[in-house]
Amino acid sequence: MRLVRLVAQRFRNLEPFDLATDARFVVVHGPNAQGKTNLLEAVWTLATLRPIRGHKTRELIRWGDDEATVVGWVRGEDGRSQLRVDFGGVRRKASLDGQPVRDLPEYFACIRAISFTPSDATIVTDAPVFRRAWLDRAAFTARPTHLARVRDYERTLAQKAALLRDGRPDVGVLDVLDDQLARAGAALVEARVTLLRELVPHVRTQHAALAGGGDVGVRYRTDADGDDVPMRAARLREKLQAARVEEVRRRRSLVGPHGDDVRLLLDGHPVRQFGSRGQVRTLVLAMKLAELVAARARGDRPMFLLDDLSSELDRDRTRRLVHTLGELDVQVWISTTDPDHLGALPGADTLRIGMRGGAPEPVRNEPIAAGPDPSNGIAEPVPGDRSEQG
Amino acid sequence: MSDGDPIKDAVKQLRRLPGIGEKSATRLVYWLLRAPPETIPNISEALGRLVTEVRTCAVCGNLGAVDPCPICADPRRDPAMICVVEHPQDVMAFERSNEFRGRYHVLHGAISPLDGVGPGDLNLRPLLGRLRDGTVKEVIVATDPDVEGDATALYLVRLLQDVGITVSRLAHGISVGTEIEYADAVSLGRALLNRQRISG
Ligand SMILES: Nc1ncnc2c1ncn2[C@@H]1O[C@H](COP(=O)(O)OP(=O)(O)O)[C@@H](O)[C@H]1O
Ligand SMILES: [Mg+2]
Ligand SMILES: [Zn+2]
Repeated sequence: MRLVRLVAQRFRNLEPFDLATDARFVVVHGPNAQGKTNLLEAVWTLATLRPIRGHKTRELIRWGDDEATVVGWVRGEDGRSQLRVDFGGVRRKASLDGQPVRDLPEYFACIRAISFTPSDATIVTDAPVFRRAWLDRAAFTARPTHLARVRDYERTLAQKAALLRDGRPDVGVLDVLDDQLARAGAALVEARVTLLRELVPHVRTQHAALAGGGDVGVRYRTDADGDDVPMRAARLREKLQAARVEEVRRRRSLVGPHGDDVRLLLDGHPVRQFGSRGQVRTLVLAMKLAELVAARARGDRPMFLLDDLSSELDRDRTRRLVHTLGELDVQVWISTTDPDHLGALPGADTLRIGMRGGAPEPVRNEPIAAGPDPSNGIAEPVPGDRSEQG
Repeated sequence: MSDGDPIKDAVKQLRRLPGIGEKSATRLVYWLLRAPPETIPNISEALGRLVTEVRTCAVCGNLGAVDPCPICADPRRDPAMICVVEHPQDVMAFERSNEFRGRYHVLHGAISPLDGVGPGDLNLRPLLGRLRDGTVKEVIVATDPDVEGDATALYLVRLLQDVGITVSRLAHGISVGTEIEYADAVSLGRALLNRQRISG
């Protein structure tokens, strides 16, 4: 899929814009603090209906306003769709082809994105929750229905937490919640492990290509071990049963996939403790590329978003990466302070956007047709394929 | 409660309704003020009658003008089947589907420790009473297909385990995250036909 047109209003520091983005590489360049990351975040937000990890929905809205809108036109295997998301305070409204979205997987089937940003180093270096979040995000990108699994588990866990906090929980209700937790947890773990099995060979290949050496090991550590969902559920039930007294005494949930971890090893050593900054970055990038390669193997074409590339990789690796991405044939969004860093890009299929003070300026060889006034035209259907005008 | 200004007071009262914020409440109040003169008295009267005339059916817990409710009082409804739902609106939804000829039981909620709702807060005791004399052969648990509805269903299944009654859970023909109240009649009907027996 490709994002062929992007409109945003009152989004962070960005001036209202309407950009034709039908290009394989979209390179956003400019000095620091101009809005490059914000533009990529607009794309990410459209694809996931969420801000970049660690940011709050509220922060997406231009200071002093109370609503932000991002609209995108996507060309995919099954034709075109118009996606739109409106943020107002804590509320979020998504629509697909002008209709409010009732079935989120249907929306997410139209648009997928994988991102690599400087803060992603935390996936490797920080607490297990960051690795679980990466894995759940990756599983969601692969199969949007994963969202329901995560939600079910988290909601059940929240119910159990509320019950335990009480101090003298109703045993019948606790039994029921543990039963639900075992089932939801087993399904969650099975999905995570299945995805990890799919990704690991690609992580190793991508890492070898980027680093030129080093053996990557990946292990999923869980309370719910087993070969299939029923076995994992049975195992979880056992452990929950065994932990019952302690959980009630400490008023906390001690057993379940919310405590799982993905152990990452480099030549047998935990990267979290021993990895250098460079090793960490290379590994994270390999993990993200693995998602992309696996998606391509599945027949999907998610967009790949690379934020602040120049600060992340040296020139050599950057060029190798750009080459790899070119071969994968997906739409790539790159933000950088130094576009020369990237090396040769397919000229005809590259859009360069200069970013100054929140105003994106497309720089292209051929003239760009002016878009309709974004203040009144954004709810309209696609006004023809503007990319064919060039 | 009143702070003198009738418009502000009305806005404040309407804001208590679910899904109504300051903006919508204000818009409604000004709309009402410009509506035909009989509008406000008619609405007030209808709302007032909710207080004086609505009864809870002592048998099933449903709300309506009479106790027992028309469904419990209807001899043509199959007394061997009880469909357990969370809310009175769910009864209406099932009735629209025209698939169900048994009777209902309304729990008035679902188990949710987050909201401080436990089994003791639900309309459960009367249900056990209805199962005592052996007339009821099957209980269909049609709580919402979400974590709370599922917890309630599991709880009920355990509770009814020893009573010797078939307990089935409404098959999730309705998409997860859809509350029964909003499910369309066709999918509710399908869900009823596909209900899964879980014990008994
Ligand atoms: N909600 C917002 N409203 C207005 N400006 C914002 C908002 N959020 C961030 N900014 C501004 O955006 C700028 C940073 O943009 P960013 O995309 O991170 O820059 P860079 O080009 O370095 O990637 C900062 O000047 C910041 O103050
Ligand atoms: Mg930046
Ligand atoms: Zn009744």
